[in-house]
Amino acid sequence: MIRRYTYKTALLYSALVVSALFFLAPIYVMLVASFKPLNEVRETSIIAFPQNWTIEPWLKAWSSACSSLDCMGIKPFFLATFEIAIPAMILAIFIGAMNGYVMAKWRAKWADVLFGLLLIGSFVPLQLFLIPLAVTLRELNIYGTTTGLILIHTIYGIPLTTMLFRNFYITLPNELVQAAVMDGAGFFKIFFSVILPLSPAIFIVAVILVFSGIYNDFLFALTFGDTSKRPIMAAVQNIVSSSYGIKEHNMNIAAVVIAALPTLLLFLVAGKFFVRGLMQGAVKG
Amino acid sequence: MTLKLNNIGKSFDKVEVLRNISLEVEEGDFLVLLGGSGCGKSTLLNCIAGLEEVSSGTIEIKGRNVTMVDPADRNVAMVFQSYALYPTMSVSRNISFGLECKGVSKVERSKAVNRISKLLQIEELLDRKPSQLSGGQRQRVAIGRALVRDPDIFLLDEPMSNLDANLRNQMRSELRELHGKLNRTFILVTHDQIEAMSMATKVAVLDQGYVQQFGTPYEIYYRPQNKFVAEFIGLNKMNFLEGEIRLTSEVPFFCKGSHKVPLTGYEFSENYPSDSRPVIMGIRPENIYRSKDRLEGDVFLEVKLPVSRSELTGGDAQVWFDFEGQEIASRFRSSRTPDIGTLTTLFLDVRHASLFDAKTGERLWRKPGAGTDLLTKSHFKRSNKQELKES
Amino acid sequence: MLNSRNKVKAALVLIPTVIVVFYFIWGFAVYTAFLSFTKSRFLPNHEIIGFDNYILLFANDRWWVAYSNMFIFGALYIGGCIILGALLAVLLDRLTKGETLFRTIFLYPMSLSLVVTGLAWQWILNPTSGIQQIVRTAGWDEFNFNWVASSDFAIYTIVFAALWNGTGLIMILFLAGIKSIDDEIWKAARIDQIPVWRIYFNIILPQLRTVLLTAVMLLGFQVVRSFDVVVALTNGGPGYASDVPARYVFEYFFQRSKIGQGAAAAVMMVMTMILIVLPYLYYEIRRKEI
Repeated sequence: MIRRYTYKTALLYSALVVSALFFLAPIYVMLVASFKPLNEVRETSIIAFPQNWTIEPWLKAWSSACSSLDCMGIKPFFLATFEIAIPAMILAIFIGAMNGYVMAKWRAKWADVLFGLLLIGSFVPLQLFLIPLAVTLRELNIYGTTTGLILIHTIYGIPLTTMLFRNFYITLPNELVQAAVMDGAGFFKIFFSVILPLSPAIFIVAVILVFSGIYNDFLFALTFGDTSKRPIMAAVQNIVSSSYGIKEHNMNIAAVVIAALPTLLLFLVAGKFFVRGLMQGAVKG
Repeated sequence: MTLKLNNIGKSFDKVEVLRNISLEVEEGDFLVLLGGSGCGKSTLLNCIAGLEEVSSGTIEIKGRNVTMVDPADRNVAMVFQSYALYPTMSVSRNISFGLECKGVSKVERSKAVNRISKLLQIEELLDRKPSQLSGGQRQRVAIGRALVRDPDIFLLDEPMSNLDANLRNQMRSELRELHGKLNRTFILVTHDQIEAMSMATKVAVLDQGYVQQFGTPYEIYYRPQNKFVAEFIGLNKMNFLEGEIRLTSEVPFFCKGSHKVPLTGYEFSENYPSDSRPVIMGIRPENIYRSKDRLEGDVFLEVKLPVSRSELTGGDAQVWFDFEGQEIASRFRSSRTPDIGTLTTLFLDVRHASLFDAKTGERLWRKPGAGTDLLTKSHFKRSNKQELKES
Repeated sequence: MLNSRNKVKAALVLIPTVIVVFYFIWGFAVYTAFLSFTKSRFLPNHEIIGFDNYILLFANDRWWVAYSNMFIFGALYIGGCIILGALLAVLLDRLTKGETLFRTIFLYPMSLSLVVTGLAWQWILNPTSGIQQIVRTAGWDEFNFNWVASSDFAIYTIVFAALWNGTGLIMILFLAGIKSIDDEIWKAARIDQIPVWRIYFNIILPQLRTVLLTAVMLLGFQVVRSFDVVVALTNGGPGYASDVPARYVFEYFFQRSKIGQGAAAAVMMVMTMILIVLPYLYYEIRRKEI
């Protein structure tokens, strides 16, 4: 088929380019601001290219930006977030995988009911959990600790991981499990020898979605984060909104960009899994 | 006795899938569970395997009650319809997985794998993954996986439905050969009657959860117990003529319209009709002849019927005649097919016909098990020879 | 029972999730709803005071600002995402080259948190240095775009930011739906000489009704929960002009120490979500009956 460059094609591309500009503008503007020295940031327009490139805003953002408490930069919060996200993600995925295996391959009416309640429950606004969570965490003496946040993110990550794995394992033929049962394999042997080796794709999707969800979380971070070790979204919002004297916009912006990098990179590298996961999550019904 | 099913019943949520199934299978039998979709045959197989729990009744394997025993401890092995090979494992691990689960040593496992792969001629495939195999190869690996466990019973769930016609023929003979070599009990589920007739030593025809008939392939074919079995079996479908039995004289007569034929020599049972009643006579196309010479006994119905339609199928043709408003089919050499409308004289061999009660569909014949020997090939040697001569 | 060993293990595996579902999700939800009927202030207090919290809530002008903001924001956000997402999906579908590039550009904001989104847009819409400034320096001295600081328009700024973040997913949903439609329909339509845009509008999009409904429902839920982007962009301001229920609840819980009222507001959030689901359920039930 010969491609004809009609005016229609030109229209198509220009519409797309304009839209692309809308989508790219914010990140461009932020990057540009983060590399400008303070005087330039204040005096030139936000879309102007930096004249005196500097990475100082980035360095300051990392190690000396000020939150409402002290000026330690974003580094401690960045690390704290990973301290929370990684264990929670591993636990939520492990539990979700086993749940999915049971619900998909060892069917029982009550398990289906449980899944239904889980599914509906995942739509409940988190605000409804805040007070009882606070009470529970206080009782367990982990309010405001990293452990507390790990527990929270594990618990509220389980609905998502269970859904992902259950929906995936349902697509695996039941005869596989039946053959393994005939072969004399037990419950866990089947999971580790037959089911798990078939799961790499869904694991990647789960890692991406769960990690992003925990990393990008704000509500729990704000409510249950210890101020000196809060997760990054709460920290960066705090840094940007604390105003002591002169606001160092370029540093603040750099901090925001640093905060945005992990999930952005994750998306750029493994975007196709990201999309696949969101589609699976969205097409739940 | 290798397998005994006592009154097996199975329901899924108030839906009865199996009813009153009682069968006995001897060592070395090749039992085929035959039926259309939804008749319950796969469920029955799963119950024998232990993948499904029966709702009522008991299962005995080699005298042991295994109704509540887990599949792996029943000493049975299964070949699944889709083969269900473990996709991420090599062929050799697929085969030895069962042994692996039992804790058999690596040395013993590889010995077993070698033995089986030699038997099935899949030695070169041992390191491949299932996705790298053809359909026929996969089936062999699935069979190997079952073989290696040396079970008392081999269960096969429609193993050939995924193969094309040529492979199917080949596989059929290979399975028969395997069965002969091993001399173990095979139970195979299929909807294909050719498979049943060509491989089985015993056939259980299932419909709507009941065993409609249990017997040898020849019994099923020549002495169907009820109308369902009669209709189901046979490449050329059996003709069904509506008529009635009249007991006006010593010998009962079959009457259809103005035609009647005495039923001397027809084997009745306790269902010997005591009064006139409507019946259906089933007669296969191959038992309708154009000349008297081919008749076996002297019990026949002679009719003169017009041709209603015909269909060429290569060397043969199927020709339909109008018999008092009903169509009956017969087989002719295509070179000798009469034209439509031609009145042709036909001889219906009543000796090979089957009479069914018009209401219940049950055969008006001695029920097997009441002191009869199961009919075997030898009973029909003569008739086979006759047919061979004519074709 | 057959296979009992395995079945017991399977059941045991589900125990943590049982705890999660019954205690951490439904238990908590019911508890908070219960608290909405109590005298709780700084700490939960189990003394029941009937509907007082709700009366106070409905009498509070702030609440109504927040609640109506949710609908304003919701309508624009959902409408915008659907229209823009569908448009972009159609445009992408027409592309022969460069689809991956454009798709990545439209999608990447999805990977960013709403906090980052809010902060980024706060920067852009900043009156002193943002868009207003650019246009002013370009010559239009009187140009006003200080919506962020305006009581009337602050809520709309949230729409921009949220749209920027959320359109990508909707676009992908539509794109997948479009691509799943049989090629044969295209061929038939082309043979009938139907212009391309009409094919999309009259033939393809109507077939995506389910996608549409799912998208609307999901977006609706997002709207009710939107907390991050509001806090990051305007923090409900100026004053409480751009407040939303999710943020209202938080403020009453932790800043004003009025747990009972916060709980009432939270219950209202859930009620609204149920209202959103009802048409969807109704549609599903009708569809199955047909």
